[in-house]
Amino acid sequence: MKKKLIAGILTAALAITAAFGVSASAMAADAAIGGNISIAETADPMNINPLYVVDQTSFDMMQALYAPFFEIVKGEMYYGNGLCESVTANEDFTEVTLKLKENLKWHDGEPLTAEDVVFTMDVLVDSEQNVPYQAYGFIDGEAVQTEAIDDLTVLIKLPTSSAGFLGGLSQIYCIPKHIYEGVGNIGESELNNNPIGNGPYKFKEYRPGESFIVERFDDYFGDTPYLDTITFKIVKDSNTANASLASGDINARLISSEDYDVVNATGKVNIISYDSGRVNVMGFNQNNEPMKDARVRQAIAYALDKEELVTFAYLSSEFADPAYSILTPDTMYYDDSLTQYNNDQAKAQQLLAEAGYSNLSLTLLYTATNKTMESEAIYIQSKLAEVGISVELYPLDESTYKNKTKDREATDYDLMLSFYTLGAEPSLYGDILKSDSRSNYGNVRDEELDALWDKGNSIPNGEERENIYKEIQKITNDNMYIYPIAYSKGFYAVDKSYGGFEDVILQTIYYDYSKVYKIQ
Amino acid sequence: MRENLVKNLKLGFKTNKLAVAGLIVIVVFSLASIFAFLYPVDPNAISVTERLVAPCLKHPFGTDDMGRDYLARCLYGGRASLSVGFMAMILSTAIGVLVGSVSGFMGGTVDAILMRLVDALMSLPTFLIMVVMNAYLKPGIQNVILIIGFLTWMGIARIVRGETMSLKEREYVIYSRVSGQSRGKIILKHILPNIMPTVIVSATMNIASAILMESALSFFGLGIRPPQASWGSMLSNAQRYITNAPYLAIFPGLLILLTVISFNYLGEVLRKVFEPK
Amino acid sequence: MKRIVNRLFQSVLIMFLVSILCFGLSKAAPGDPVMTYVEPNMSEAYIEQLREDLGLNKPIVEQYVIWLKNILHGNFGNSLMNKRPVLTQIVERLPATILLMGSSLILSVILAIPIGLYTGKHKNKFWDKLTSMLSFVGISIPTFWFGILLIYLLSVKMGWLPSIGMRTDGVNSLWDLIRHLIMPCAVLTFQNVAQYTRYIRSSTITELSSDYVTVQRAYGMSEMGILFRHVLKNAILPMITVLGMSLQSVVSGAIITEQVFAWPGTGQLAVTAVTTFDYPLIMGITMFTALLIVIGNLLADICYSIVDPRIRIAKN
Repeated sequence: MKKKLIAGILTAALAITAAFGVSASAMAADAAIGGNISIAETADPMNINPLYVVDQTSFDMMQALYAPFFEIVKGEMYYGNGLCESVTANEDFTEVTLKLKENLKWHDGEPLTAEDVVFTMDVLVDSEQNVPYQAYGFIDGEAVQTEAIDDLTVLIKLPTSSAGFLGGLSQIYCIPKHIYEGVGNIGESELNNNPIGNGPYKFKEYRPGESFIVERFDDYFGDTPYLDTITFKIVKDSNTANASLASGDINARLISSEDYDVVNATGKVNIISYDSGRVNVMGFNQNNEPMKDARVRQAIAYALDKEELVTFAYLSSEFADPAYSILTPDTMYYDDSLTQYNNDQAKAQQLLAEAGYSNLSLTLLYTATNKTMESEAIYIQSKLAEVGISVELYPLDESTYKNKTKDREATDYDLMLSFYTLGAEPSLYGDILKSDSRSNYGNVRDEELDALWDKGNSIPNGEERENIYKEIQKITNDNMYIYPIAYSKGFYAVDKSYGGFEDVILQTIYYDYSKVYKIQ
Repeated sequence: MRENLVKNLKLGFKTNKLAVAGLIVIVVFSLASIFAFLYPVDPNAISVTERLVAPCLKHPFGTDDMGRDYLARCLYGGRASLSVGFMAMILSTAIGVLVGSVSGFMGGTVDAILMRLVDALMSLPTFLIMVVMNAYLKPGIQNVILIIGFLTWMGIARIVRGETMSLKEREYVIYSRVSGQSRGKIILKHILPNIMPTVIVSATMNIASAILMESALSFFGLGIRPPQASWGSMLSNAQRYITNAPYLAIFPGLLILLTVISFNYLGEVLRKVFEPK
Repeated sequence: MKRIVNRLFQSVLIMFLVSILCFGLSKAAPGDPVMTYVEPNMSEAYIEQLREDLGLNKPIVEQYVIWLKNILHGNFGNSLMNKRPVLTQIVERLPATILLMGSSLILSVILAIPIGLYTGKHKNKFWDKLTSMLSFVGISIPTFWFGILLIYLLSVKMGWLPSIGMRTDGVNSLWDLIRHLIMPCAVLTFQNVAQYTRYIRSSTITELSSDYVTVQRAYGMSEMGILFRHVLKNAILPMITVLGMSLQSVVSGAIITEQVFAWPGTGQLAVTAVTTFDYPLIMGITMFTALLIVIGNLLADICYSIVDPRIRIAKN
């Protein structure tokens, strides 16, 4: 069964490469060569080294400087902006061979070879280097081994077979061996302030608090990028950023649904919507007594009207879809037939009575600066009041919220609003529900469920795996461990004088900046 | 002395029509927010369908982004804002005047200790103090008043100290000292009345800053908890809708402005009453 | 002279006090500072290592002593957020903030003194009422509102001025810098002038009605002479205090103004530090600010003695 899937991936990938080969050579008809685009970012970058990128801003900027090995777009291999020409695996998926494109170059002119890939993978699994993505280089606690076959071919040996490995590898970016070799602590090295990448744009200048500028890399392996420069401008205030979009001081920016109308009304921008892959949820803190009772959690689910909640908090049914599973619809083995807790106040009250709770008073935690969460919270508060549950809102600033939700012993909130983006591989969603996971915000402790997550992670794709993940979704839903609220869309507002953005956004937060151009 | 004050006060109002208007505004605002329940609309009732409705018959002030009646929110918001503005001002002025006048009058070691303490407190970033307090205080209007009062008295203390230092070297104060009056009496009789004009100016300005500071506190989850309304938080929320629903800013903005102006005109009268004759 | 030495000694003392308060507050803040920087797939060993590197496993007094020793050597540590030295980060932001705050402070004083004196002298006349009204608006309108209004008016509608930042890429002229400076500087100046004029006006009125001035008038001194020779000297006292307090803002920046206009100064750095709970950065900024407050107050005290000789005489 597994072999079949890999074969599937590989043929699809071939087809895509072929199709891409045709479309890419045809340059956009209205494209100008040259110019600059200013993209708004909300913060300063923390660390541009791709192995150490953890914040959104650095990730956005890093993608202009570094090319991935390959991407997985809608579940299929995509080599368009990747360093690899092809990726093949042996039959039992214990050996993966990467074939690099020819004439790859670093921004300082040095050739990029298989040695760089080996170096990168070695740094990844080196416990001294503390790469945050380390886990992607390990399978069942054992590190993968990487060796160069020739200048363009790399062989990665996996300790045991793993279907999820490619998913992790697609998030690893190559770093230059000739720069970082022998550096003891790469993550904190001064060298990261002057990044040498391999992507369509190279580093030009960073002005703290102001801007991060990259310029065209002429030896880029893909089609020559259109723009001369990209300026990432740091604008913290979202209202200012909206105004700057209207005045033309900023040309592109990610906006939230509350900004949609304001930005759209300026008439100066196109708004591109895309699947954000984000699941917005409400968690129940099972450290607290009432939340331990499944009937109370179910009662809360019945008391809410999900569609109304989504329209209220996300402003339009077009901006988000009601969510019924903990997985996104794009995730493998997503189950669309789960029991829906449709709004039923009588049932909610009955469940509360059975559980022996009346006049329940709960505290709802969320981030004060997140407008959507505030709307969700206010809706939930007013709706639960109708079944006699009083909710006290507990908004916190972002860093305190983060700290609080990472505390697995916290008891000072009962309900919490949160969201996660975990991709298409179902095993990754164990992060939010497994007893020992750091992100188990609901403090769910269910041994049966833990066993299912572990099993699902270690068996090959197929009917059995499918059943396991369907079972997980069912158990989670029946016990109401997490209340999924919505799959929300993301919006990218782009000045009308720029084109190509449909191709820039590969998926969610993965961008290929070489495709953006100024319209003639 | 007391009779004199009352007479002066009456005279002040008689000659200053604006102060009368200010008094009326404050009384009306206070009554309106105390008797807000007479307006039979729930300020926290949300509506999915009636969002950002411009002012009309049904909603005289329109509705906000969550479909809540804006008039009701302005009325109830007045409770929070007026009490926070007024009480925090009283608190910070009281501490500031006390510390400042004692420090300035006593001089020497007492002055050095008090002023270094003020310096130290003023050096700490407000944001840091808010985040820490956030962890130890339950939100609520009393705590908002306490925090704002605690964060804003240092300025007044320094100003009062400066004036006191200068005043205590004037002839009549020196004369009182020589003639053996107690220190407390001198502060009360000669120093306080003379620094009153400055104190009143900074106190009236503090009302505005307290009202606005409350909205900054709610940013940290410390202020008035949502869904409760306050003018400050309504104003900061309205920022997003500056182009498509400007009335969201105009109503709370005007209310704050009118309150500040009224307190200032009242202050003007008070200032006159205390003015050295 | 003895007084100044004494005052300097006190200043050292206060810095020490601030260091304790600042350190204590950071420790009292909720949560584990390391956890803010922990990503779900980081290993336990790595987190332990982070703690070890930051010295968080040592007793609290020892942590304080180490920290104090380091800052005395000019080492404020590295920021948790981007691992860069705290001092470097503060220093690279200083020019922007000094430019913005300095220009608005100077402009404010230049505007506020004549307006305050004039309106105090011509109390309740037309111009007094108009400026009063404007200054009430200045006090009541929140910075973020005034800022965003200006942006919509002058950048979006009129297209006269750039809405954000402090320079246009590739342009390196003074004129470009001034164009970027106009709006944030105007916002700050308007609010400062609104406050300062209230103080000066009030003191002017008080001084003009004092016996001293009456006597001077009786001796036939000109009104202008009275205003500038005597009234200004006394009316400026509260201003000196206010200015002394403002000096710290020249460096700590105007947080909201910098945020609204995306001005790359220290105010924005402070916001970032607090919102990401980057405590070495928070403590560094605090100590730096404290130092300036101390200097500001020292200068204010010295100015006091110069302006008002009575204080100096008394001291001596």
